[in-house]
Amino acid sequence: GRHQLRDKLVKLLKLNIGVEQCVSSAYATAEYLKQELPNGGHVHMIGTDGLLKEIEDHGFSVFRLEDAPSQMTHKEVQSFEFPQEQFDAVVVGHDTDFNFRKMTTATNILANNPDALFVATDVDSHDVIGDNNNHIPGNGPLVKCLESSCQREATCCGKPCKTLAELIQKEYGLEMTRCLFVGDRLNSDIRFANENGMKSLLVMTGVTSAETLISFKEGTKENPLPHYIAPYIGFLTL
Amino acid sequence: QQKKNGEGNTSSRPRVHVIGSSGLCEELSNSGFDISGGPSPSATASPGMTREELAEYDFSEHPIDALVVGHDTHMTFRKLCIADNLLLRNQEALFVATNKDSFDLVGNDSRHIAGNGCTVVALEYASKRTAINVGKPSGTLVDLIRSEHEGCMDDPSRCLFVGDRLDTDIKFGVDNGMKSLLVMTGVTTADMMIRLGEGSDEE
Repeated sequence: GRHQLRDKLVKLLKLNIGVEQCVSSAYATAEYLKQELPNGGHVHMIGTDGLLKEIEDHGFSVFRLEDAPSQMTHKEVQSFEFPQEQFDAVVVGHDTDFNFRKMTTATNILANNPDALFVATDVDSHDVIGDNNNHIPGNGPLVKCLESSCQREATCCGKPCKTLAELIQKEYGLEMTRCLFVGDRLNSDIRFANENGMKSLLVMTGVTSAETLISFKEGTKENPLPHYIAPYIGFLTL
Repeated sequence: QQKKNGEGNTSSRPRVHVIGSSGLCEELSNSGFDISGGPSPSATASPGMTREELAEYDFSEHPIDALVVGHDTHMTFRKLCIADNLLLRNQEALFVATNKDSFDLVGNDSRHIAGNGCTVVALEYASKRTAINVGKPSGTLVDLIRSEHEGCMDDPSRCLFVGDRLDTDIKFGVDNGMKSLLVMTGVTTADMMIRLGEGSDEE
């Protein structure tokens, strides 16, 4: 959520930033829900405590599976009592404890509530962590998984989707042409910036290596080239 | 079985990492492969996998020749992480799906259960690699039947394929020159049939 994002940025950049200056994917998702469901409603979610708090703070009641075994056999699915109440939305956010039971619960809730919104906080494919450059699957794989099981397409509230651009313009009155978007990912950060009238700056300290960048040549629709490139964010202060 | 051993493999058996049931693991093991992974998570490891744990994990200790994904009602984030990284670090390894069924219906009141296809698309999206699908509607099954049962399917037009799924069963029948019979006791409903009208390439 926004508070965790603010704390992280204050520590990293040593800047004094207010929570209201931060827009996280959790916040954007909750704002989108409020926009589509102005009278509130009942939401099923997969994801972090941060996401849960943002959604609740925006006036929704939330159901999230807690402390349940990860496995769910065919036999159990046949007799299980899935939540029967009406749901207005199903939200998928990143979960390092995603499992078959969560997959099955969300699928059945979506099937039983065909008019409910199906929303993803973002569709990042992966992140790179640790000295071994290991991959951690992002929210994107979880979303694709559920899109397949319920045969529906999710609305993405994160980069590179328009939803987020519209949100920040409306809430903060930002003039897109006067914005510089800094990120490490071509298919989300840079694409988001370029498709919404901002300038984009790619930093090389994240998932995109020089090799990857070169392999995209003049760029593609999915992976456009940035307006600017810097080896690391601190380069701007030199 | 046609795959050569990877470099540095001291065992004579190719190494296959598996997401799937014990039945799948047994079948593979009996066919001469060294298996890792499988349905039961480690007794000590949690089903989830934190960023911290994944950052420390050493995948170089785990070379593989193939990764097979089969249906697993105990699919976890940990299994997804391990499979994703193995695929990335072993680019020459085969990436195989037993099938790409998206979902199934169980019980009298049609509960949804995610199919193997869900895990496969998740892994394809994460790894940016495409799985080889040996399940319907792939022709692999036809080749297998022909190689194991001489004379069978010499004339596919004399075969009737019965199934409940348009995008796998019926497509398999049609693509391989067989007659196809759709039963209405499975995932395909009358409403779906009516909506499809003349049918499309996939269905």
